[in-house]
Amino acid sequence: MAAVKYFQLVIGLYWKTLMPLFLLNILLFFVLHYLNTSPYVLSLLVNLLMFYSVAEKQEKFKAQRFVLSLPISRSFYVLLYYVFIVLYITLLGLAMWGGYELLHIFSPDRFTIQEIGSHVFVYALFIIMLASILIPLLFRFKPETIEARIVVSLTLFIFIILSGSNRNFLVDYFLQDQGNLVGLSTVCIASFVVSFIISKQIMEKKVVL
Amino acid sequence: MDVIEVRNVSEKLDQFWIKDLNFSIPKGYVTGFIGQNGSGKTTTIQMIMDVIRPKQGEIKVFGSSNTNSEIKQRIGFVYDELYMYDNFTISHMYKFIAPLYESWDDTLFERYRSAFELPMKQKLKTFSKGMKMKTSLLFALAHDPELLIMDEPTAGLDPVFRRELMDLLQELMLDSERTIFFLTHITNDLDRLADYIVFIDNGQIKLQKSMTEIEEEFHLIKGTREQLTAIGRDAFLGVRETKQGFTGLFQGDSTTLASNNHEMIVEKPSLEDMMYLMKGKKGSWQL
Repeated sequence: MAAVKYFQLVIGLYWKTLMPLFLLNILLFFVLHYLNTSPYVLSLLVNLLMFYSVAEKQEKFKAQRFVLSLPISRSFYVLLYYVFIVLYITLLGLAMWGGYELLHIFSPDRFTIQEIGSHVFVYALFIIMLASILIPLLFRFKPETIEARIVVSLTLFIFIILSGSNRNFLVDYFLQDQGNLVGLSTVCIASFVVSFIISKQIMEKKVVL
Repeated sequence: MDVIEVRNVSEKLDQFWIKDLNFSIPKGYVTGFIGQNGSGKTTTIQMIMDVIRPKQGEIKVFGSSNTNSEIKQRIGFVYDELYMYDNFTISHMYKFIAPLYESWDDTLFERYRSAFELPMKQKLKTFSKGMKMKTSLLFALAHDPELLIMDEPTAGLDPVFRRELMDLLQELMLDSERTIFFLTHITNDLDRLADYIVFIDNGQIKLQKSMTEIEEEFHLIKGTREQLTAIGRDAFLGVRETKQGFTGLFQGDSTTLASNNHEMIVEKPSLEDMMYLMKGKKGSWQL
């Protein structure tokens, strides 16, 4: 399939940068869980750092200039980048699931299998929401600009505030009720689609200097 | 047939204007794109490559709009730097660049890599500037492009590599179907290579002519200040005066100057002379 060869470009460009933070994310998540500390806020922070550092590195080495000299259209490149993010989140979810299963083996009384699935699902939705906010922003602004930093800080701030004193608050809230979970899923998926459309429009008009 | 056609293109970037650009690049020849630093060469080339989209005008490459990414299958592009993550290796780059090109030729890739003495597994951050430029060239040439666009490929490189590059480009031009568009401010590179010259100054095209036309039409005139006064500055396209005399760029039949009893030295101008003198007088070119 023709798309596969283009997808190799996106993987080739980004996976090497993402890999260390991906591993850090998994490690941090389970160390905190093992210590009975909620890992969600910190884990989301690592993901935020990851999106930001990919954009920063891309800017530093002007990799988009290079990409645009290759035979790939701007909109297709954005589409593949979003597909890549979906795959990254899926992979992260699977790694989390595997980790939870391991924890479950060592301390079976801590989680039920159903809880594990729900936790991983909600966590993945949070990262989708985070990606939906950050990707267009980082396509639009250079990561070192004040605009980019304000939005990144604000996003982080909102997640922390919503978590409140109980750092599992958000996760617990959406797991309490089936309706809440369906609502969250719908909002996150819709945000991701809107985010893609916005990023595509930004990239179509972008002056890559 | 023209490989690149730039029509009425204008663009404003920060404090810099590209104003109503019109020029074309003929197929099968080497065209040098010259101008001093900051004259708009790189911006123009980035517009051709669709890295920058101009607000006004039209750019066609191989007869199609330059926004059609498929045309890049036929283009080899070399930036003034290697824009790639410094922890990557050539081997890593190869894995995701080679599949993108339908005409990618592994034999050609290996031939150039070996000729350029580039290691497959060494990180780019350990490469010298020359090695980085060779890496850019390697990936630009390995799909055997019909059009090679190069942005200052020799800037900052040692004379030996510059000479080798010129030899390589001459070898590439043995294929009469190939076109090279070569952007540089080191005009010596073009003296033995270019068939056509496009000169840009302050965001405007000042000259587009073949090297033969340039050699026939342009003359470097040297004389005294009195002679300059007698002829008049307006006879020249550009003049530089010193205490000893003047040097002027003249377009046309230089014998018309001698017939006025003005004995002067008439020489063939180099591209550098032309760039230097044309810069001195704005808006006087008749293209």
